[in-house]
Amino acid sequence: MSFSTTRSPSATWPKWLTTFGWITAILLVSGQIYAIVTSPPDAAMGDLQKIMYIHVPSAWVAMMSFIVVLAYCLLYLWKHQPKHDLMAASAAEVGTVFTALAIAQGSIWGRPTWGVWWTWDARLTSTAVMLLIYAGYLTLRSFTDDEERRARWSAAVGILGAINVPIVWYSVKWWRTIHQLQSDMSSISPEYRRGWIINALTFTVLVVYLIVARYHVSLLQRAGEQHAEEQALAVRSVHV
Amino acid sequence: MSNWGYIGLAYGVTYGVLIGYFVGLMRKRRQALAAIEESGK
Repeated sequence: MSFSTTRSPSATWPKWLTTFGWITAILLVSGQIYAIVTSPPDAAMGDLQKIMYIHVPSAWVAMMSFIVVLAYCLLYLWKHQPKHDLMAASAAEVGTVFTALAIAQGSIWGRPTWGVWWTWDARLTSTAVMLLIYAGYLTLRSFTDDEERRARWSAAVGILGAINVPIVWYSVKWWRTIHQLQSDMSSISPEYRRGWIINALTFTVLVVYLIVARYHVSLLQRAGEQHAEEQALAVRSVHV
Repeated sequence: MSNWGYIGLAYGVTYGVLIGYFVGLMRKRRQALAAIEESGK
């Protein structure tokens, strides 16, 4: 995919993306309704368990997004193609949204179960650090108009920031935390397992859709800016 | 607040943010398409 100054075929909104969006929305709503309706109240926390169907998938896809950021940052440094930088930035933005959501959902879940909205637990703190790193990554991108410099700086932050992802994942194993260990197939009761798997998958589809949609919006914005620059140059050359 | 109050708050925040993000994304798309269309005239 090139970033030529002419209107490239990439600077359009693909029709398949709209179809993908509708399929994602249907899968998401169906998955959520299925899990909420079919899961019985938990013995310890009652119906509060239903927050699991948004909290766990949000945290999961947030970390997945930052792995995508790492992959595209490495690709950018290797290939020096702006499309890799745009994809990394798209994944970082979507990942930041899901990290913020995971923190907010966890806080709302924590209040009735732990008695506090927030505690400086290793999992919560490392997740908050992850949010700050990627918010920093996005802020850094606005510091310079030089595309190459912006991409290079961002790639460095994207790669260094990814170091925190395994820290978040293993924080509940490495330190004594109030947060429970991450659920897996063996630790989750059968009556909750299907809803948990379905929502992990639907959130994965959702995050893929959002990253790809954000990437295409970035391509459109970039094409629009290039056209505006061309026009400005054309007007200037007429006056000269 | 009851358990269902917390559940409603968690789901409300989640879908409020997701819908808000999506609407913002579509607005950016419309603006970018309009800018391309305008420059093509």
